[in-house]
Amino acid sequence: MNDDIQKSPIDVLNKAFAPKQGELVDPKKGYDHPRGEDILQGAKRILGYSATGQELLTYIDEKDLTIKVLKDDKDSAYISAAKLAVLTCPASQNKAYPSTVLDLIRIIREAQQEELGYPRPSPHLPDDEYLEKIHEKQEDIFVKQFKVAYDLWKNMDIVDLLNQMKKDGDEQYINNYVNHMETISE
Amino acid sequence: MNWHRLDREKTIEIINTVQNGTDLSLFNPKTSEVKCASLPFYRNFLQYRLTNYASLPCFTFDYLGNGEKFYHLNGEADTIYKINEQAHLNLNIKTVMPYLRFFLDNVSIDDGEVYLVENTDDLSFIDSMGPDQKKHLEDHFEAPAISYEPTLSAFIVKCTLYFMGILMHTSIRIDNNGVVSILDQTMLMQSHLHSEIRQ
Repeated sequence: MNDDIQKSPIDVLNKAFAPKQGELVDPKKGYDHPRGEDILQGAKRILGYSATGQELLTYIDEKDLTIKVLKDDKDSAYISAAKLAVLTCPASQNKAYPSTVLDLIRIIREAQQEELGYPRPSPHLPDDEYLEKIHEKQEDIFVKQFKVAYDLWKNMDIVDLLNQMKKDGDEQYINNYVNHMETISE
Repeated sequence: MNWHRLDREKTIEIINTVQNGTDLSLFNPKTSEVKCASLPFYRNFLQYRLTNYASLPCFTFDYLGNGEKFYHLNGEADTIYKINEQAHLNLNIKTVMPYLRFFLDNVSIDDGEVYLVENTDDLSFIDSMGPDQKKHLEDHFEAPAISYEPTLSAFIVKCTLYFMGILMHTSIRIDNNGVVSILDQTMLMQSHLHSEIRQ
């Protein structure tokens, strides 16, 4: 998953900023990512290297979960009212990155949480209760992401997901999880 | 930005407009809000932000619209360029910096986000630097400087960008149609730290 050649920042920026030929896309047709199928299949393939990831893939198939890959750089999400999992990727992205795989885990697990009876809490709950439920949901997603990342590292020597999780969050927190897993497997 | 939250009737109308003709149900009027903000460099287009609060995290899409047509800000520079043609882009010495901020905020690059650093306080890693590094940064940092180059028919913004772990001085060319390009760069500092920019 690593790129071996260091790219020049100025070249990367100017490529992204360059105008293209053609007309503005119809607003109604502009959402779908042109490489969405490749990105999704790439992310699923990586999930398949992990036992936890395989469970998530089985869930997609059993529940016929709809996953759309859209052009955007905002957060991916599971939209429960539409039973739709949305994976957002920059328009120039052409393959699954570690962050894509982690996002895919998130949105599948969110769909599972809904089915398991852990929907997003009502905003009308008292603040403490609301925050507690949000934290529980986030922690549950984090554990799934970590299990896949750990499996990939142990079984396939792929460290990219663990590194991405460290980059996204608390490195010490991830190290504690790794130490725990290493201790119980001895 | 000064966001203005739209009333329920207008919210429903815009949600219907952006989803009409698609097979997507990204926003439900019961759980979503729409707000808008004016942009100093557009005469007849506003930025609209649609947020669905029923997902975790909240799901947000931004659009540019004139009340009838709405274009998803999908992270592509070319989308902004094409909208510029319709939106009567008005670039001058006062609006070019807001335009550059808007452009960099709304163009996504799969190698990472690019940040316009207008103040060294924006850099969270400055706290973890040694005294020599901090002095080097403060001595060499330059606040953005804007000029208009008639021979290029373009504005030149000399400023500091943070991208791919590198803090660099750049000259950015912005032509009258809003097309952005980087003319040159000089590396100021390289960081291997993770949370680089304070949002």
